[in-house]
Amino acid sequence: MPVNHSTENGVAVLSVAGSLGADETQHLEEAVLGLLDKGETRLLFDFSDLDYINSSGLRILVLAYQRLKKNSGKVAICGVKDYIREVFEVSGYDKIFSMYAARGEASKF
Amino acid sequence: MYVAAPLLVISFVRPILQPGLVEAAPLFARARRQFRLDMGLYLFAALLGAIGIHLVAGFPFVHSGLKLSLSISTMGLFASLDTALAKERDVIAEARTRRGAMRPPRRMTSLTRRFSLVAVVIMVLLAVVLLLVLTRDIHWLAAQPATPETFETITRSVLVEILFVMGALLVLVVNLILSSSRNLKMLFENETEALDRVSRGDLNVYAPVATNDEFGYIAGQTNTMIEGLRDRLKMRKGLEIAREVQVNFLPKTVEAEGMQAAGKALYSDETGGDFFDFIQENGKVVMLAADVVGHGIGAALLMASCRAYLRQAASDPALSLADVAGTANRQLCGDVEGTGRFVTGFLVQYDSATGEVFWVGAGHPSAVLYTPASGELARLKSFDIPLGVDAQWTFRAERLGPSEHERYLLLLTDGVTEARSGDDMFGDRRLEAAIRRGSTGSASELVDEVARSVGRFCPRPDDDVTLVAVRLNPTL
Repeated sequence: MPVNHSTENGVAVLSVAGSLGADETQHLEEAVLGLLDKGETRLLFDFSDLDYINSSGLRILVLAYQRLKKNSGKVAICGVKDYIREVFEVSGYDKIFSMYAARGEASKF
Repeated sequence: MYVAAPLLVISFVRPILQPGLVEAAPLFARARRQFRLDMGLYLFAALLGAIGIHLVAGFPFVHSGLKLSLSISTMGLFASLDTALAKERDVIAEARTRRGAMRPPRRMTSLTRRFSLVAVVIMVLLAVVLLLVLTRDIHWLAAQPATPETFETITRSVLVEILFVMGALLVLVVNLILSSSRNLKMLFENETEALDRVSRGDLNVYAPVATNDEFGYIAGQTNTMIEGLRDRLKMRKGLEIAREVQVNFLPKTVEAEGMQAAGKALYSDETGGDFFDFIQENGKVVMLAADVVGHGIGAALLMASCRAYLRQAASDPALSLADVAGTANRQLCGDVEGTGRFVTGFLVQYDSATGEVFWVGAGHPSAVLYTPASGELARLKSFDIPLGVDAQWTFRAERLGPSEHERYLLLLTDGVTEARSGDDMFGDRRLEAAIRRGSTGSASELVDEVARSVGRFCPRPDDDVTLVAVRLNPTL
């Protein structure tokens, strides 16, 4: 599960490709914690190349959400495929994360 | 005489040096020390011989002395290798009986490199010895009168000498090969015996680390592996106990005026993240199915605290179902805030006084409501986020009005619809068919029918499978 991160207009963007299950979250968790330690307050997860996510993967997003909420930071997600959007809808997470179709749209959040 | 005397000298010196230089050395070093001691002694004897032959007989030091030294050294090399290999066998035997070294040696000397070194040295030595014998014979032949009568005897004696030298060297080499294969066999047996026992489940073994070569390394790593397996076994035992406790948390059935419910959880791991509960208080019954993120001991601990919060809140008659979810959520957030861990849940409250049903879905897969009389199947979808995510979240309870018909409500976790068989998932279609089939009797029968159906489709699910069936207005 390759994780890439870059910064665009003051938003830290994390692109995750492949699968995000129980065995693959460690990389992403380290990357997220690293960005939070650096004081980033706006995190955008680019899931354009993500094929699978389960509750272990969602945990990392919740972790970022909980930690950023204290510093009035925000978590947004862009580029999710339809069947992955369903996972967000069933778990109610579309209600707390801003979801955008494309990265360009998301950079304004 | 020039050979025997120096050998006699070293045979007296050897027993004096042996205890201090070899026996006192650490186990790994003994064979090497033995070789060095013996080789050193033979080289010393070679020097003595050369000096002796020069001083006593007046032979030239360089010519005859070197030849004598070479033959004593060659003899010494074979003898020292032989005693070193014998010493190594002693060491292997000792390592087996004594619970000595178990870790891989810190410094390794490669067995393969030692083999090639010894082989090359022996080859060179053999070549030199044969060369010397041949040159000497050629010199001798040149000095002989070449008549047809003497020719045959000369040829024979040269041949006999060469054959004798080659034969003797061959015997020494063969002996060396046999001796080292005996050692290899012992080392292999040590390792295979340990591995055999481990594969049979016996973890009270260890592979003796007798040498500081690849064998010692393999044996040492085998021991590390066995220790790891032992630790794992201990952890498994702990998890089994945790699972036992967890399973004891789960109720079987609950009944009130106008309803009955039953539940079942099949855990994929030793301890799962799923649970369900029934809390009956003052004519109201709360039934819930929940799924804690992850598996294992962490999930089980979180499940225990989440269950306690939900129980406590559901037992309070002053709290509505939405408040039950809200209260448990706030308490859970206090425990897990900042870790990202969360619990999805579906809560149902039945009021036996009014027959009303309320439900709250917290990021959980939707429940299925089935009315056998009309054949109608409806989905109760979650509106809220999971518990443990946001302490300020306000949960919303939906109301399901009373009905004169008998209805079945099935709560489940995602392990049910996502149970896999190859590339195929159990899915909604199979679930609905199982619900229709199972909704003919008690709530337990429905739970059993769906569980059986999942089990037939996927005998060993990857995720926990949890089911709670509620039967409303039982007509029988």
